[in-house]
Amino acid sequence: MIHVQEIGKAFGKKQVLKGVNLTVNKGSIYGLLGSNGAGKTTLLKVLSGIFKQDKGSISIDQAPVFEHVLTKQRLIFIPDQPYFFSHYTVKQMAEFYAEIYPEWNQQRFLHLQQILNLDINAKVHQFSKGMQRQVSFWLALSTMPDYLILDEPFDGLDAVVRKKIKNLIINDVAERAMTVIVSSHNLREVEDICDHIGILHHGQFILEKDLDDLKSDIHKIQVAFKHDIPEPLFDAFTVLHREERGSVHLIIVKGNQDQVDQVIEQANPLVYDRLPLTLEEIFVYEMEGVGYAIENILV
Amino acid sequence: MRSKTSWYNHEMMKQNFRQVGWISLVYFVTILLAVVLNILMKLDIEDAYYDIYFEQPLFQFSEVIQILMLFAAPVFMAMFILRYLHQKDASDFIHSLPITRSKLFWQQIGFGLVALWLPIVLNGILLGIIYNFLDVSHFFTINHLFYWLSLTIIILSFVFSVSIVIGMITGISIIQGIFTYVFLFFPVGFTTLVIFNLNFGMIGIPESYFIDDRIAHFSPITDLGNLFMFDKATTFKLVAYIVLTVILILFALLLYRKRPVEAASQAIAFKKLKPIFIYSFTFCFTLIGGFYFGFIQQAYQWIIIGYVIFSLIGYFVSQMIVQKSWRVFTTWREYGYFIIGFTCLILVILFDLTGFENRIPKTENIESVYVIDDMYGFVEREQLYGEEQGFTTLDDIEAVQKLHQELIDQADRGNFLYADRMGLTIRYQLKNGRTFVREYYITGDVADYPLLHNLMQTETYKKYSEPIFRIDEASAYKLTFTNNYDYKQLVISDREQVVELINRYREDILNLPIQEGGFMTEAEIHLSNQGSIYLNLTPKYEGVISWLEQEGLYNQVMLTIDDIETVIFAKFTEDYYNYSDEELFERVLPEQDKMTITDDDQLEFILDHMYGEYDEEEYMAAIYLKGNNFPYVFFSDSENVPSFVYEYFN
Repeated sequence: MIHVQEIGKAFGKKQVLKGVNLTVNKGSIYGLLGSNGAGKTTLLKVLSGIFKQDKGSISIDQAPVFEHVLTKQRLIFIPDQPYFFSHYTVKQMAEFYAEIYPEWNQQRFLHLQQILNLDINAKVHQFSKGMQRQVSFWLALSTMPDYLILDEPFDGLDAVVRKKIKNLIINDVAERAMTVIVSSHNLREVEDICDHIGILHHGQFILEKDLDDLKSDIHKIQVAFKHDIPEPLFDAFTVLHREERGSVHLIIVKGNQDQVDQVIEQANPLVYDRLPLTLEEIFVYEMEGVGYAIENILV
Repeated sequence: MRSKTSWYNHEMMKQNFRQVGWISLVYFVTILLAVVLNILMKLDIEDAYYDIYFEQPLFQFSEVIQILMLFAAPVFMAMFILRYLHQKDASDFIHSLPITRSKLFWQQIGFGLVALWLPIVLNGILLGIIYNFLDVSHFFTINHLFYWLSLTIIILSFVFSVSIVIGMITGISIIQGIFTYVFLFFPVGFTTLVIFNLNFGMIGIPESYFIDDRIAHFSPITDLGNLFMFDKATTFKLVAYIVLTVILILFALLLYRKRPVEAASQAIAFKKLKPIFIYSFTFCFTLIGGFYFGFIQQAYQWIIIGYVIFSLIGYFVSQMIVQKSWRVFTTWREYGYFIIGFTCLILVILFDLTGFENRIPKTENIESVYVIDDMYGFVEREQLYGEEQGFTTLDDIEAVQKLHQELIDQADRGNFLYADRMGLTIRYQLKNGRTFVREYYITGDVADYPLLHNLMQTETYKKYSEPIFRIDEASAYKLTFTNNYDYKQLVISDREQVVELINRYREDILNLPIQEGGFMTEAEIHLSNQGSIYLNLTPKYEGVISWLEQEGLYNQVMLTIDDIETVIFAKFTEDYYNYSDEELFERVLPEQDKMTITDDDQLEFILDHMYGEYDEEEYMAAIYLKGNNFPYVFFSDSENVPSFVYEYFN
């Protein structure tokens, strides 16, 4: 479990992280969202023990990270631009990782080679961007990490590679209860694999959600009544958004699904539909409630 | 869990080897060619004439290449071994690995040091093999080899450790490289600048005492001469270098632990150092400005202009380095603080708030005192013959104090501006073991300073100023008199005669006024262990002359009227600079402007009384010696010219 308390970090006069709190449970995939400059990379580097925070504390399984070898042996950080020693081949990099990380699994490494189908004796720098990205995952997953921290891992990759990498991650999460934190500025890139989402804006979380809760909690409904809508109808729920097209009302409402069904059926509407909501829509409406325009924060 | 506790990572070493191995290789090959093969090549030439100037001959083989490598290799090594700290992606990667900073640090430092030592050790082994199997005794001994090995390793390690500290402070490799040399040179350069600039305003600052004597030892770059050419007194220095190296490396580790990883590619890694850097950089540049304009223009208004221009340059360059941007011309605040501070400093010095200028040690605190008019020679004599005996009697000390007060009273801030000034140093040895030194400039003649003139006539002064009193006569094996460029030469190699002459010289010098210059005859005393000393011989050296006469050697040493064909006098003219001596006296000067002397009495008078060169050139004379086609020319002023010459021309 990753536990982050009141982290602050400044570069010079610029305060990048302002009291960030975060808890990530074992075996979950946490999506860290935010626009460029929101502080995502800084937070990830603090989590990985690269930067030292100015304030606050971090613990991974009750142990600190910074300068803490035992924690770092179980944690891999993959930056947005994966780094390899110049002129190293995949094999040489693998030898390096194998010595540094005690849990290195050579069989896994060879097995992944069959899946990825990359030449182990080729120099990594001669690979394309997508292939380099795959190499970084290949090496990282061969160290059998308990924690994988990924900075913009899908940025600029084509759909095929993206899919491949997602499968690799999901596989390890399912099999070994690996914990993943993945950052992105694009919700759509990560919504299919994350179970938790946090939105960082100007160095602070403005929203943190469990996706399963989120999807079962917010409903988009279309109702029409013969007469005017009976006003007290939604008093029991939070209405996030509401518009009228003639006699048809489009309402985004927060609350338990059965309860919503029950209340509306009782009012005897002419039409009552529950429409599917994309994750993006949910965020848009949620954020409207807190006073942010999400389009400015994401995508 | 498999746990690895090895103290080093094999793979990290492999990566280091790929990154810096070439430096070791280049260094090894360079030394192999420059030293080892050089010796072998010289061995091959049967009767190779090889002059060893250095006490440490191994440094003399391709010394320029050796010195260049001695200072280039460790800096390159440090730059590449810490390269991972200066590249953002590499820095993030390495620091995300499960290795502590201490371990990383020791691995990198250890690797760098070994990679520097190895090329030298391997070459040392080769030299050892050569030493054992070939006769190289005329090149070097086994002690020389060990000194060469240890000194090279010590200097390499020291320069490397300086560069490592700089590498921790900065986040840019090129700045690490440049500033390593700046810092290596800093102690010498900064002291020179400070003293030179203080000299503008602080009367009595012993400029030459500091600059000539002491500070060369402060940096290995300026100290190389001492390290290579002599082998005395270096043990302390070598130990000091080792201790400093260890301290610097530990300091670098401390910095590394505090160093934020995000400092990669920033000019200065620590926030707190930025203002310190800006102010000190500006300060040094300001001093450089004063140095430059003080040297070139020698006028106060130019020195002030130099301060202003160079402080601006220094300030904006430092801002550019810190901000990594050209656009720094809007930040003036720190410059304002600097100018205020610098002005205060100047005022403190000009108003002598520290009481530096008027301080004269109290009589009861003085052990002994020297008045020195040739600081360089004095220091050299001290090095050669040991400490000299200064003035110790109460009368003498009080006379020096009076002279000191007089110098303070007549001193003017502008004195340093005169080109023809004469430096005069007063050095007190205090009873508490300290040395108190002041230096003043006097213009004009010593005769204008009666106190100084009297002190210079004392036995004490002569004994510490004239090397003849300090040499060990037992080691003198030869004395050569040379007259007028080998016109006459006499070599005396009988030891007893040499000692007799030395003693007579000592007596004569004590009896003569100090300022007697030389003319025509020079004596060289050859010493078996201390080189040679040179003395003049004029008719006033009565003891020496009478001995020569007694031995019937006078005519072999001194000029007599029998040697002289003729002497031509003339008033000094600027034509002297345009013609050769023969042309001037034989063709250019019209007959009526010349006085030709052939009269024996007059020639006798000239030989007996004219032996010096005088301050003002009013008359010139050409002496034609028998058998010589070219004249020997000397000068005189109207006071010292013989009366018959003076009357002839007036």
